[in-house]
This record gives sequence, C-alpha cells and structure tokens, in this order.
Amino acid sequence: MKHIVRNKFSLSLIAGMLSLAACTNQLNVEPVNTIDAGAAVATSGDVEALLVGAYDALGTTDVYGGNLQRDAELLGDNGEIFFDGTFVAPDEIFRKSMLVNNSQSSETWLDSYRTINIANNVLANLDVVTSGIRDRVEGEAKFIRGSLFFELVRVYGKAWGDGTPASNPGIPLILTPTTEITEEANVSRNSVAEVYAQAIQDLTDAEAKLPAANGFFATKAAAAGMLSRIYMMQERYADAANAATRVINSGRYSLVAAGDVFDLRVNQNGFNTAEDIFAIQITDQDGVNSLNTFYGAAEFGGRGDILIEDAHLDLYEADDLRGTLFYEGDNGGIYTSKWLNQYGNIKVMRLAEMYLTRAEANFRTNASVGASPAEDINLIRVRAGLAPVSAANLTLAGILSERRLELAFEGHLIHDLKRTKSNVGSLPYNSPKLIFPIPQREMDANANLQQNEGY
Amino acid sequence: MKNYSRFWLLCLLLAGFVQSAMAQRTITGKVTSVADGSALPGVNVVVKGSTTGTSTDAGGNYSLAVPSGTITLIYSFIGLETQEITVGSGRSVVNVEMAESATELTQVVVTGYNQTQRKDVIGAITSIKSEKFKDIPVTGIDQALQGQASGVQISQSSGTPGGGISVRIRGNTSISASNRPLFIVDGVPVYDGPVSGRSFGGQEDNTLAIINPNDIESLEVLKDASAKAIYGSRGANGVVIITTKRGKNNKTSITADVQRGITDIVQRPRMLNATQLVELQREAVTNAGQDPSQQGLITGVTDGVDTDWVDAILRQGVLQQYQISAAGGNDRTRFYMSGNVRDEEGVQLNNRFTRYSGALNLDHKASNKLNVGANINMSISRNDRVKGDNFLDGVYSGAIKSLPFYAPYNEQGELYGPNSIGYAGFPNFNPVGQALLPRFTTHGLKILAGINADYELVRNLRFRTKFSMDYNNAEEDQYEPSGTAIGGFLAGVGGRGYGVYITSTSYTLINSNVLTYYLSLNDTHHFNALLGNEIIYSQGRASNVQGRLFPSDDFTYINSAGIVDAGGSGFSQNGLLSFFGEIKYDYKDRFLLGLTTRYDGSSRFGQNRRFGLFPSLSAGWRISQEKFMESVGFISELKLRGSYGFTGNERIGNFQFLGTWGSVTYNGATGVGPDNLSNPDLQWERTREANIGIDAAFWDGRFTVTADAYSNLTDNLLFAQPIPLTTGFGSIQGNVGSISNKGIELTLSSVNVDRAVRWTTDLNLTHNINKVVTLANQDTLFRGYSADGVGATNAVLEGQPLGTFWGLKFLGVDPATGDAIYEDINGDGRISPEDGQVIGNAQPILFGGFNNRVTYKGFDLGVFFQFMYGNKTLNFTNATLINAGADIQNNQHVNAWRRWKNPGDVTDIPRYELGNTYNNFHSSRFLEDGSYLRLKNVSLGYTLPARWVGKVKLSSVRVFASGTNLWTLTSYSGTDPEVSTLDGSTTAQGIDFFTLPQVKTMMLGVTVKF
Repeated sequence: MKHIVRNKFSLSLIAGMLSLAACTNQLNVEPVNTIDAGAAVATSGDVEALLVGAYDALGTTDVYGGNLQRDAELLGDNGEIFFDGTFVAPDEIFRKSMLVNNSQSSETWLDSYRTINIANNVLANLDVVTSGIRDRVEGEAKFIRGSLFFELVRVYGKAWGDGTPASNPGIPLILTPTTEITEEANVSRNSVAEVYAQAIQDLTDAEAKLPAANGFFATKAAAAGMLSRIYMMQERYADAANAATRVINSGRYSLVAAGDVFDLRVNQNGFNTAEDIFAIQITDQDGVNSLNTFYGAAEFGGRGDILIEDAHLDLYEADDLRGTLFYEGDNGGIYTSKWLNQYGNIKVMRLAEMYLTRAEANFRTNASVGASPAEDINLIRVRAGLAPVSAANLTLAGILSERRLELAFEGHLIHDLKRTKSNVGSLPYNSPKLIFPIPQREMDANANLQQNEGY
Repeated sequence: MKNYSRFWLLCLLLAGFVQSAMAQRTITGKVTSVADGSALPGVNVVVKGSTTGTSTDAGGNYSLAVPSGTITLIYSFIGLETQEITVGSGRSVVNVEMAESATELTQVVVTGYNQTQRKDVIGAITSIKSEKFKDIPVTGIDQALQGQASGVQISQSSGTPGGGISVRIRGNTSISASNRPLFIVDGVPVYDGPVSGRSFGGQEDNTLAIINPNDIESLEVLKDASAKAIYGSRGANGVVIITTKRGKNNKTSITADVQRGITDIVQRPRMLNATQLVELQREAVTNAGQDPSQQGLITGVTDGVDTDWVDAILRQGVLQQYQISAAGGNDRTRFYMSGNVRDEEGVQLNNRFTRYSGALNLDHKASNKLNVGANINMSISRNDRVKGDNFLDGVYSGAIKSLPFYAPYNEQGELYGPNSIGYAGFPNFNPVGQALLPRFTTHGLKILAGINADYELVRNLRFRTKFSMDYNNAEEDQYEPSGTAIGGFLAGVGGRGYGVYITSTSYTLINSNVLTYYLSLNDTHHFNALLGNEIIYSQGRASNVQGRLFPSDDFTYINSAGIVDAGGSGFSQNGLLSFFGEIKYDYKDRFLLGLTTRYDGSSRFGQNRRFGLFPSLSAGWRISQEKFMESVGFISELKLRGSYGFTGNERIGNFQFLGTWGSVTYNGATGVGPDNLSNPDLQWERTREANIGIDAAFWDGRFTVTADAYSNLTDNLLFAQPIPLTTGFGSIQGNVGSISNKGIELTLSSVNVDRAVRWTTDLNLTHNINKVVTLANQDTLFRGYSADGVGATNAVLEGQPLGTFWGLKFLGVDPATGDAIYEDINGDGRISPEDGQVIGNAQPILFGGFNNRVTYKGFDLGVFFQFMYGNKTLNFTNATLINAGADIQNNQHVNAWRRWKNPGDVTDIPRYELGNTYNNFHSSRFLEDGSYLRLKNVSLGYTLPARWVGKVKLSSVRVFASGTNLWTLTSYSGTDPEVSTLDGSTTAQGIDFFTLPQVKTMMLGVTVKF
C-alpha cells in the first residue's frame, strides 16, 4: 500500500500547483493599447489627458473638424456653390432633401455626444485635479460642452426665433458621464430654451474660469465669442455686443493683413494667426481638415466636391482682396483658397467675426458699445482693400453682406439666415427641410425621442 | 479554487482503485510482433472475467499472478488484434505473437486528449488517413481535407499558391466571430489565420500552408457535441485533429519522394479582341448620342494594337517537391524525421510560394512505467505575392479588364508606367508592370514543438503531461517602385516609390495534464475515465513602417526613403484556463455511454461570465453484438449513436467586454478618450448540438455506411448592440441573435472487387441548411461589396442563410427598348434601392466527394471527384465585364457580344449605352448557378516488383503520375465557380470578383524506400 500512498501525494501536489497557478494570473491579462475604464481616472494627470481627448474628439471631422461648418454652408446655399461629390449624405444636405437615415446626421449626433461625454468625464472628476489648474480644466470642459449643446440645438432644433423655444424640442442635455447602459440611457429631448440656457450657463462659467491665454486651447475670449454667437441667435443684441467687446478689448487678438488671414501654404502643419480666437489644430501627423477634403481641389489633397459658382464670385466688389481667395483647379472648377492647406488649422472663430457681430448688434440697437458700427465695419472693409463707408450710408443689409463675404465658407451661412429669418431659395427660414432629422438609428435605439417635423 | 477541489478529489479516488486478487501461481511470457518479431511493450494482459492484469515491459515481457485452474488470458493493445488464449493449469509460460488489426473497427481514432478504437466511438468523427491525399499535391493540411469528409466544406478561395482556404464543419455558426474550426496538431492548437498583415485585394495567405502535409499520419474531424465538448469554448466550429507520423518499432526505413510537375490555370477568361471592342464601344458611344470618332474610337486605328493581357501575365508554373524521411526504432526508442522542400510557381508572373520544413518526432521508453517524447516541426516559407481581385492595380484582375488597345512595353522595350504617354489612363494600370516591378515578399516561420511524458501511476492509471509551443513569425518586405500604381500614380501615397515593412509574431504556450484510468469489472463493465486541465497563453506582437519618396527605384528599402511617415507597433494577449473530464462506459461492448465536460475560463469573457461549462452526453448501442443478430451473418457491425451537448466559440476578439479608454493625440499633446463601454456579461457564442448516427458494416467490412443527422443552434451571437448615441457610444458588444444548422451526412465505403484486381469506392455526401434565426433587431445588415443601384451585394437577415445575396431581381431585357427590366417590388413605378431583395445564396444544397481506387499487381489508380450542388456564385466580375456601356475603360467579356442591338432582339444582355448605369444595376443578372463537379485528382502509380528493386538494395519503388483539377463540369459562365474573392468571409462568400481561378496540376513523382 505504501506505493499507492506515494502516488496519492504526488497527485494532490500536482493538482494544488495547477490550481494555484490558475487562480493567480492566468485570466487577468490586461489590454495594452487601451486601458480599463475603471482605472482610467485617478490622478490630476489623468483628467488632463482626458481633456486633451475631449479636444481631439471636438476636432474630429464630424464636429469642428469641418463637417459642422460644411453642412451649414451646404444647407444655407442658394446657388453660390455646387456640390459635385459622390457622397450621398452631403448631397442630400445640399439639395435640402435629407432622409432620416442620412449618415451625416447620425455622425454629427454621435461624435458631438461622444465629445460631450468626455467633457462630462472631466467635469465629474474635477475633485482629483490639482487645485491650481482646476478652474482652467473646468472652464475648458464647459467651453467644449456648452459650444456643442449650442451647435446641436441649432442643427437639430427649431431656430430660436421660430415659435416658442420653451416648448420646441431641442436636444437631450447630457450632463453626467456614461459608465454603463441602463434604462436611463433612453433620454428625452429638452426644450430649445433649456438647451440654450444650459449652453449659456456652461459658457458663462467657462468665461469666468478660463485664463486669458491658454496656448491653442480654449480661452476666456473663446468662451465670450461663443456667447456672442448664442446671443445673436436669441436676438439679445446688447449682450452680444458686450460679449464681442470683451473679446476685442482683451487685447490678445488683432486683425492680420488680408493675405495672411488664411493659410495659403501647401502641405504644412497648421498654425494660429494673431486673429484666431479658437481653431482646431491640424498637422501632417494628426487630424483631418475636412473643409480641405470637400472644398480643396484634388491637387491640394481634397476631393474637389464643392465648386464655387459665379453667383458667389459676382458678390465681390472689383477691388475686394477677398475676391482673390479663389483658384481654378486642374479640372477647371473654381475653388475657395480658404482651405487650401490640407494640414492647415480650422478656424472656428476669428476676430473679424467679433467686429462684424458687434457692428450688427450695435446697429440693431442703435448703440455704440465699444465702437460705432461704421468704425467696426470699416476695419473689415479697409483690410479687404475697400473704401470705408460713412455712418450715414451704412445699412443693416450692408453689414450682413459684409459678414457674408468676410465669413464665407466658414460655417455661418444657415445660422445667419435663420436668425435674420431669410429664405433659402424658395424655402422659408423655418422650413423643416432646413433642420436635420433626429437619426433614424437613434429613434430605433431610444423610444423616448421625438422626431422632427417633416421626417 | 474551491470549484476545482472536488474535481481533483475524484481523481484521487480513482487512484485509490487497487486490485487485490488472490494469487496462486505465476504466468510469464513475452509478447512479440508477428510482423518482425520485435518485442511489444505496453500490451495489456488480463485474466478474463476478473480485474487481474498487467502490461508488458520494454522487452515485451510480463509476469502475472493468476488463480489456479484453467484460465483465459486476454492480450490487447490499441491497434493490434486482441487475442484470447486459454491456459491450462499446468502451463506457466505463454509467449504470444500479435498482429496489427486489419479491420476498420479496431482502427485507432484520436479523440482529443485520448484515443480509442473505431468500434467504441459514439461521436461523429471522420478519420482520414494520409494515403487518401498523398498523391494530391496539396500545399496545406486544410486543403488535404477537401472532398474527403462528410460535413466538411472546403473551398479554396483562388488559385494563388499558399492562399486562403475556407473550412467549415457543419455550416457557419457565427456572423462576427471566426467560423474556422480548431486545428490541433499533435495536441497543439495551431494559429490558422493569415500570415500577412496587408490586404492584397480580398485574398489572404494561409498559415496552415506552412505546415508540411507529408508529415501527417492522419486527420480526424470531430463533428458532434460528444466528440467536441472536450474542447469546450473552442469547439463550436468543429475540431480537426492532426497526428503527425511517428516511428515504429521496426527496422529503419528511409523514404525519398520526388515530385515535379506543371501548373496552369483551369480556364482562361474569354475576352473581346480589340476589333470587337472598338465596335462595341462605338455602338455604346453612338447610343449615347455622341460621336465615337471624337472619342478616339476609330475602327482600324484604335484596334491597331491587340494585346491579350491575360496571356501576357499568365504562365505555366513549375511545381516541385522533394522529401526525405526516416522512421524506425527499437523497443525503447522510436523516431521519425523528415526534411521537405516545396516550390510552387504561381501561374501569375512573379508569384511563387516556397517552403522548407523539417520534422523530428521522438518517443522513448525510459522505464516500464515512464514514456517521454518530443516533437519538433519547423518550417520557413517565402511567398512572393501579387495583388488581385478588387484591387485596380492587381495582376490577373488588371489583365482581364485592361483595354487591348495598349501594349505592355513601348518601342524601346520598357514597361509602360501609370503616367506614361501612350498608355491608357486611370483606372488602367499596366498589369505586366504590376506583376514584375513590385516586391511583395512574405517570409514565414512556424515552429511547433512539444515535449511530453506519460507515467503509469498504478496499473491502468496514467498521468500524461505535455508542454507545447506554436510559434509564428512573419516579415513582409514590400516595395512598389515608381512604375507602379501605388509607387508612382498616387502622389499622396507613393509618388516616388512606396516601401512597407511589417513584422508580426504570435505564439501560444500550452500545458496540458491528463489522467486516464481504465477499469474493467468482470469483463462486463468497462470504464474509461479521463480528467485533465490545460493552460493556454497566447501573445501577438506586430510592427510596421512605411516610407515613400525614394531617391530612385534602385533604392528599395526604407532606409533610403525620403519620408518615413507611418509606423506602429502593437501587442495583444489572451489566456485560457480549462478543466475537463470524460467518462466512457460500455456494458459488454453492447451499450456505450459517454459523458464529456469542459470548464473553460477565458480572458476574452466578461467578469460576470469568466467561466463556462460545456457538457455533452452520448449513448450508443452496438446492435450487432446482440444475440439476435448472430443469425444475420452479413451484418458485421451495426451501431446506433446519439449525442447532445454544448460547445462554444470563444474567438470573439480580445477585451471586447472591457470598458476601455484609448490614447489620442491632439497637436502633439497626448490624451485619452473612451473607446468601449464595458459589458461584464459578454460571453462566448454557444452552440447546442444534437446528433444521431448509425454505423453499419456488411460482409466483414466489405461495405460500410455511416450516416448522421444533426440539428445545431448557435445563440448568444457576438453582436454590436445599438445603444442611444447620446451616451457617447455607438454600440456595446453583446450576445444576441442565433443561427441554426441542420443537416444530414452520409459516408459509404465499398470494396467492389477484391481479387487480383482490388477496387474500392468511397462516397461522402452532405446536406446542410443554414439559417439566421434571430438578429439584434429586425434590420437587415448589408455586407459584401457596395453595388450600383441597390446598396450592397450581400445581406444578413432573419430567416435566410448566411451568404445571402442581395440585389434587384433582373426580369430580362425588354425586346423593344433593349433596357433591363427589374422587379419593382414596392410598385412605386421606379427602380430604387428599396426594390432590393434576396436573390439567392451561396450555400450548397449538397456537396461531397467521390473517390475510386483500383489496384492490380503493381498498378494503382485513384480517381477523385469533388462537387458542390445548388450554390449560387455571384459573377461580380461581369458588373465590369458586361457593363452595358456604363463606362468604356474596361475590356468586355465575349458574352457582351450578344447584347441587344435592334428592336425585336431577344437576349439577356441589355443594350450598350455609354454612361447608362441603369442597365448595369446590381441584379440577379450577375448571379449564376455555381454548382460544379470537378475531377479533383486522378493518379496512376506503379510499384516496381520487389525482386527488381531488391537487387539494388531498395525495399520499394513507386512511380506515379497525378493530375488535379483536370476537368470540371459546370454551367457557370465565369472562369471558375470555386472562387471567393472575400477569402474567409462568412456573410459574403462565393463572389467571383476578378478572382484568379484554380490551377490544374500535372505531376510526375517517384517514391523510393530504402
């Protein structure tokens, strides 16, 4: 029997060793190029990395990487450009005949909320951030979140001036980070008024907490500038003029020479000019300038999809230096030079807009906050090589026309048309065709959402 | 820990079984082989009707205490004919000679971690011996299976040497996870994915092609739950167990094999010549209301050059293979070693696959109780690849559609490049240049190695442990010079040369430990128990770098690149921890019962689902052993089998369950952002399998039948479940949806004539019905290629099989107008993507193989057919080659010649009109019957008479001639129905999109044994 006993012992030994090895480490292999979400945010450095992630998400093509701006121009166009591309989604937007399954509608929705979720992750973890930089981090996250609430509500909701904002459906306000999927993920749309209020609150907080200088990241002035846009949409002209004045008076930005406003180099990393208040950073390693993709000719790295028509070129006065910001592509089409450099930055907001905004707001309220409307308009006109206009000859139409020419193809068109209640071709400003559908895919996934009129 | 303790307790109990017979006398003796007189170790010697027994030692000797009086001793060993010897009371020495068992019933079947005899098998297992494919010049082991086993559907994706092969056992079970079976070589689960990391236009390469099939002794295909449950979470797609050759206890034999032959494409595409094409293009332009002469289409001028591009890029390839092997041993040590060189030129210029491999298997009996062994199998391969299929710059794909109006070389004999004056512009790239200029070399290295030990703790209780490794390395060395499409045409990509270098290494380490116990009670109840555990760890590493703007085409390595603008590296790993057990019981060899269970924990499963249990139960009844069957003499074996159980598919990707954050950069600043939302409940895909089968043999095995019917349901399909985007995420990986596979399989083997002429026939047939039962939501998922007018070529939708083709339904050509007529299913008066519908599917109704062998004196003849019936093949090539004038940048197929020309013409090809895409919308016009019957192999051999070869001290010499793919019966209008452009795809199989057809091979060979 001795023989048997020895065998028993060796067996249990083997069994023990195997099980031990098993329990300790066999199945707990860790991913390497990604990290476990549970372990992601523990230190101040983690939150700062997350904030960089939020900027990266903000700069993706479907958000401020260009498609948001491109679609504002396509949707607002009435014969000044022509969409010659093969992509279905922008073509539907250009023809004002979007379908509920328009892929851009769901991409804009997803990538914006993806960015908002990262910002919410930052805001939920402010307590681990070093106190010296906590305000800045909070301000940047709120700038990103507030800006996107504003962008989304004006893309997916009725214009502020159309009906009752307090009852018009806006977009869902998501203020906490997503950690797991529960029934609460099936959110409803907040009203347009609620979304505007949240955006204003976020951006007001951001302006208070952001520093005046912050590299290429969001600054106090960027938040103030974004607020001026919101106030303009709400026709709160005095507030808009004040916000624009805060940017102008910060003294950190200045108008550059007409030829230096846009990056006319080719294939070189982008940079911010003295005029840029906030811009998405593009390099040859990182980021895609989607405006170049669609507005740029093939020889400059674009698809050459958006051709500029004579109807637009004819708007410029003979000496207008801005009228020279066009070129003929190898295929014979006319393209804008604003997005020539495929690695150039995307200007989300620049100082010229602030002068134009203040001029319009002051003109409408018959005020001269900061400067008179004529003074502001003439800064822009003179830089473009044009003769100044006298205060007596200045009209609202003139201010709006100046705004159109200065900011063409930079993503303002449909929003300016809506707030001025102007038609887009034969469509009235409040046509349901000028509002994106809530993506069908989202309607399928979330029964609590209400579809927009006309879809 | 607690979970496993009970398990191990059981094995301790098993160890406690001790026999304690009352010994009264001792019998000794020696067991030898009848063949060569060598000693046979390990033979079981048991007193009939008791548990008393022993086994022979290394010298074949045994000594056994037995009761007094006349007794019967049973001598048994797997693979040998069992003998019963009656021993009178006075006899004390019994020497026995044992012979190898000849019948099918006693042949050894490898069943996962164990082996058994065919008669005791109650699972659905098909065994294929190497003789079945030894004359077919297969590249890899997966290819060797084609047409050989029922339930196993093998399609070679193209005729590219070393290329991808689709293997499906009992249908497709998954949409998102892998559908490939688990390949086990000598106990090691081997990596079977593609070697290369870069796409070559649909066609992948194949790691299994790096293993030399000539070293294989046998293949077993495990098909039902009772056979596969021992592989648990990896078993759902079936298991292929490959056993390599090992030495035998006899005198050393040395075998040399030489094979040499030529390969050629099975069929060439039939294209229009230049004159015909000009006429057709002029017609298309004229029909569009334009002047063809202004477009440069002038009869007699444009067709001044008439290049046969397909001819320009094809060649006859040379296939050669040399192997030398030695096998032998004595009663303590046995060995098998081999060296092999295989070199196959592709039929496309510059395409070649070369492999060098070596194997060494050793088995050593260290003592009466301890056996140790080792196996090493090493291969290096070099694959010179060319692009194809949906790549515009492919070789064969480019050649078919290239306009015949241009020549490959200019008057100076230089190749035309993409921007050359005098050559067609985009999308035409000189396919001869695309073949000759680039360097796409993939260097592969594969090492399979293992050591094992086997110790008999007490009689019939054995402990086996094994440590193994599967190591795979690939380096891709690529350069596309400025004369190629990528290297020269696209300024944004190459501009002036484009170089890529990719490395990838993956290895798997495995340790398995198995206890087996055999118990026989009164020779009535037989138990075979197995208990084991296994630990598997896999790791993958990869890196890549890309460079462009080279100083000139003389500098082809990235060191010289002007810009090195992309690079990366990666790492991945996963682990599997398993416990498994099996009990097989039989009552008097009549009633068989099996219980198999595996308990798998995988790092791929969510925290809440880390371990899964995969049980199976099986039962068999050997009716032929019953008394009442004794009168039915012509039935030598009749067995009913049934099994039920669960298996899983754990190849769902690493860390899919984990909520992860990925790194991002923003203008030089690095950050993080959420990638995935966690799903701690994520688990394996689970297949519930039920199988009933019958094995029958008649007239002493002259005629055998195996039939199986099965019904499998796979649920918990891995799926990206859509969630509200407002969460910031698009989807979450979940387990939803189910797929069913139901089918019947039939295998017949017959010895038709067994005299001087021996003629045997094997036939196997399979009918499988695949159906998607439920999906995450009712939405149709579109897959495959995007298609004109209808979205996509393939769809996944409930109630239809995987591989369903989607499109408009083509109703014919209007004889009045020549326009295509499509079915307007929503009746809105226009044809739109909403009119898309299911137009067929790639699943065959029936497939199988038919093998005949005739031997007469020294001659042997093998004729092997393989077929598929009822499957549809999408001739997507014709969307370009019979494009109804949608463009005039591509040559057209000869069938375009019968297009509609004048009112009243009745034809199936719409009229040609330049720019008219309506007539070329994706429709059932391109879907064809893909059924085929193929003479897969015919071989004729002659073994020289022994008295001749004996004079030159050789033991045998066989010469043979072999031909593969020599003849095909099909109505398919393309070059070959056996192609699949999206190699390995489950949702979009059976698409011919400029895919290189199979090749036919004619080969001569000689095998010399010393």
